[in-house]
Amino acid sequence: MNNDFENKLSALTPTSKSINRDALFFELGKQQKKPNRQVSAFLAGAIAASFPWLLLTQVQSQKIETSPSPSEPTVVLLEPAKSEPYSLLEYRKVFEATNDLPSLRYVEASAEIETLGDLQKEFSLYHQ
Amino acid sequence: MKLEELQRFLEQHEKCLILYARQWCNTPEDMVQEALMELVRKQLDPMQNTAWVYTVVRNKAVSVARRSTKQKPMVGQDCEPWFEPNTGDAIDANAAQLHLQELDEPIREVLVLKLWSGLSFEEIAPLAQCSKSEAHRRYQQGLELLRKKMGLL
Repeated sequence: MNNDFENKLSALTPTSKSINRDALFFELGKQQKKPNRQVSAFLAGAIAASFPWLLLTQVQSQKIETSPSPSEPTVVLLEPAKSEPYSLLEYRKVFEATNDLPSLRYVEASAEIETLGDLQKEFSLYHQ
Repeated sequence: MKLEELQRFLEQHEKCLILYARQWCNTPEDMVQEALMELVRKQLDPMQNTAWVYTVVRNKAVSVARRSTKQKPMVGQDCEPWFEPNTGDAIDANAAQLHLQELDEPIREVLVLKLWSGLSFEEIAPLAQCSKSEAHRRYQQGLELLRKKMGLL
């Protein structure tokens, strides 16, 4: 008897306004784009050596990462040095950037970045 | 976490989580949204962390209820329907809601988690802050009380 009653009760469908699924899926997408493994020490060192006027926060903390799979994008986080106006100027020159330089840039690059040329190409594409 | 996993979890638990949060506050969708955002940010597998999501929803809902006594659902004063209108020989949805609201909170919580969320007593116990056997006892007591109230004895 209890079983029948339980079944009838559980057959009631809870009603609700839906939650904002778009916001949830957007957040999921953001999380999945986060870097997931460390870049080679060579590349990190080369970036830092070639563009010392860029504050590569992730390089400094050894956290620039590339995708483990060639089919997945790599996300490189760059933060132009806020305390160095000259750095920002050079940043514009080198990468032909526009005037709107945010303090934080996420640059999606392909997993084929192995050289500084590759990296520069990605930046150029990014700023087009 | 994959998109499909999240979608599957939502299909299975979204409404139940909202019903669960509704036991304490009048903004249940917000509580569930916040909890799921946390889940995504922590990159936890939803199906393996179902109890965790319920715990977060509960904590948020209880916290909101404590901050504002107006948020706490009063017996018979919560205007939002808890269940879809039913058809056929099913139990009357409005009556079920009314009588559920009359139950003590600890008993009602176990009923909601067991009947609509489908959690096991093992999963319910930590949420309801009691032992597994106590959760079972509350469930049986809740069913008996509901049957009496609904004149089904």
